Amino acid sequence: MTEPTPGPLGAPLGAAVQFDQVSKRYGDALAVDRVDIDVAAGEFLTLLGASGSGKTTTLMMLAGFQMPSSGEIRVGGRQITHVAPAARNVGMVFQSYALFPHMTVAENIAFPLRMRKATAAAKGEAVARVLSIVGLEGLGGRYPRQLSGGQQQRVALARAIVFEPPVLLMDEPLGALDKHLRAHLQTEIKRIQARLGLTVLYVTHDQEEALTMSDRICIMRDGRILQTDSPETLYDRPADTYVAGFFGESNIVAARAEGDGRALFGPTPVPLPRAVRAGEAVECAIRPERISLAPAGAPAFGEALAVPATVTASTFVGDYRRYELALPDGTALSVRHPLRETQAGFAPGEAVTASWAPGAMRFFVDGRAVA
Amino acid sequence: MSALAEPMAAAPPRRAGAAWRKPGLLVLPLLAFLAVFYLVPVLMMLSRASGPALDFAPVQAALTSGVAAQVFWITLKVAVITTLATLVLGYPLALFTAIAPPWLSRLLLAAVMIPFWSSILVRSYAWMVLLGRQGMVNEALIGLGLIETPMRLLNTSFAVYVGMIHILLPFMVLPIYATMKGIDGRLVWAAENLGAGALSVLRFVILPLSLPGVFAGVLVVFILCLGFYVTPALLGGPGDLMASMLIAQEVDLYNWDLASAYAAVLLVVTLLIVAAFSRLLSLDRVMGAGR
Repeated sequence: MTEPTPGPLGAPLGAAVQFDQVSKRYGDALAVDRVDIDVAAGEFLTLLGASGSGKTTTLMMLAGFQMPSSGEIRVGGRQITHVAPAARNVGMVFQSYALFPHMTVAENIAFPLRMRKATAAAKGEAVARVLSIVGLEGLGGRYPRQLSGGQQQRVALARAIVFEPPVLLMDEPLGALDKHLRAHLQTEIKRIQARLGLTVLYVTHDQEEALTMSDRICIMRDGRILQTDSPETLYDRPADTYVAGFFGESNIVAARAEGDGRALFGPTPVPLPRAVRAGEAVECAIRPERISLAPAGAPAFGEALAVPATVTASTFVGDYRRYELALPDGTALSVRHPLRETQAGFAPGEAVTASWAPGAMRFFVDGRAVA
Repeated sequence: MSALAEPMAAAPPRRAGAAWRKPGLLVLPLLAFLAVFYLVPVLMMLSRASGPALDFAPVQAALTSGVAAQVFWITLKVAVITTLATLVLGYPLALFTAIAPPWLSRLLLAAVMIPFWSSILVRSYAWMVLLGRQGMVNEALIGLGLIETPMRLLNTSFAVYVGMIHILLPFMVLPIYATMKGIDGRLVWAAENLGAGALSVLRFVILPLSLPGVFAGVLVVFILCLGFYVTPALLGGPGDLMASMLIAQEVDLYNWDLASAYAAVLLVVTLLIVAAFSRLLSLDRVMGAGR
C-alpha cells in the first residue's frame, strides 16, 4: 500500500508545494523567518517543532488564512501567495476538526462539492466513496456531536479529501485523541495518503508521530527551519544539538580537541572529524543503543573503541535493559542493552567494557554538527 | 454495597442550619415576592375577568366588542411589522458588530446600549420633539427645500413604528450579536477552505448558526410589542389604539371587569403565540436531534 496507486478517486492527486523565502511578521515579532520548503508531489512532509516555532503559521499561510509578509508560495507550480483561501483547492484538517454542527456527516462531507456546484448524484456518489475510505459507512445521517472523537476526525478527513485536492494540510489532527486511537489513525492516514497519492503537509509537536508517518521531517524553531531530512537522517545525522535532543537520547560529553586530532571521551581518546581544530571545545555524542557491553577485559573488535567502566545501576525495561555506567574519571554513560537468552545481565558494581564503532559518534562545535 | 453494611450510627448527624444550604430555599424570598406582587394580582385579574357568577360575562363582552377585535388586530399588525423591521435592521448591525475590529465593535455596542439605558418615556418624548410640526425632521426637510409646509409626522402610525423600532432594536441586536460571537471562527475558516466565498459563508454557516439568537430576539421583541403602551400612546394617532391602551382606557373609566377581561385575553393570546413559536422554531430543528 506504499505505492501511490490510482485509487477510487482517479489518478494520484498530489502536487508539489514550494515555500520560497517566506516570512511572516507580526509587528516586531518574526513568526516565520525566510522559510524555504520543497515538497515533492505525493510526499508526506511533517513540520515538527515546539509551540511558537512557526509551524502552524507556515501551514496557515499555505491555506490562505495568514498572508506572508514576504516570499512566495506555489502549489503545482502555480503562485498562490495572494489567492483567496476558497480558491486554493487545498484540503485542510483542523485540530478541532471544525465540523459544521448544524449539518449531518453527509452534508458536512458534501459541503465542498456543493460549493463547486456538483450535481446531487455526483455528491451522493462521492460522499459514499469517501465514507467507505475512512470506514464510516452508514453514519452519513448522524450529526457530528453524535460521533466519538475518532469518528469526528475521520469525517474531517473525509471532508478534506472529497473534492480531490492535490494537497492536504493537517494541523495536529490527532492532538485531541487518546494514545491508542492516535496510533490507529496514524496508520489510517498513511494508508489513505499512499492510496490517493496525496501531498500531505502535517503539523505536529509529537516527534514519535513525525518519525513514524513522514517521508521527510522539517524541524522548526523560532520561525526558522533547522533541518529538513528523512526520519533516518534526522535521527542518525542531526544538524545540531537541538535536533539531536528532539529524537531519542544521547550521551553527550564535553571535551577539548587535542593537537593529535583526538579528544578525551572520559579517559579514552576518540578520533575527531578533520573539521575540528585543535583547542576547540567539542561535544561528543553517542546514542545509548549504539554501545555494546562485554565483561571486563574482553578484546575489542577491529576499530571499535573500548572503554572500561563500572555498572552503577541496571533497570529492566522489557525489550531491553538499561544500564547506567561510570567511567574511571566519573563520567556517566547510559546504555540500552538488548536482551538475549545467551547473555547474562550485569550486576551493579560489576566491571565491564563498553565499546562502540567510532562512526556511530557525532560531534558538535558550538551546537552545530561537524563531520 | 459496603455502605449498606455500615451501622446506622455512621450516618452523618443532622447539623443545625444545614437546611439553609439547600439551593431550593435560596429562591424562597423571590418566590414570596412574586407571589404577593405578581401571582396574586394576576389571579385577581383572572377572577374579575371570569365575572362574579363565573360565567365569563366580561370576557364575552370583550370578545364580542367590535372595538376590541379591531384593537387586537392593530396590536398584532404593529407587533409583526415592528418585529420584522427590527430583524431586518438588527441582523446586519449585529453581524457587522460581531466581525468589526474590537474598537469599532465596542463603539457600535455602546451606540446600541446607551439609548437602551434611558427610559422609554424619555425616548418617546425625544421622538415627539423630533417629529413635531416644528421638529427637527420637518425643519430639515423644509430647509433642504424638499417640502413647502410641515408634514404631519407626529400622531401617525409612522411615528409609532419609528419609536417602537428604535426602542426595541437592542432587544433584537443583543441576542443575535451574542450568538454570532459564540460561533467558532474556525468553522468560517473551514468553510472558506472548502471553497465557500463570503456570501456562502454567511448563508451556510453564520446564518444557520445564528438562528437561536434570531429566535430569541424575535420572541422578545414580539412579546414586548404586544404589551407596548407609552410609545404608541404618545406618538400614535387615534387609529393607533393598541391593546394596552384599550385596557388603560377601561381602567380610567373604572370598568375593572372589562379591563381585566381585555388583559386576560391579551395574556392568553401572548401565551398561545409563545407556545406556537417555541414549538415551530424549537432549537432541535435548527441544531438537529439529540441536543
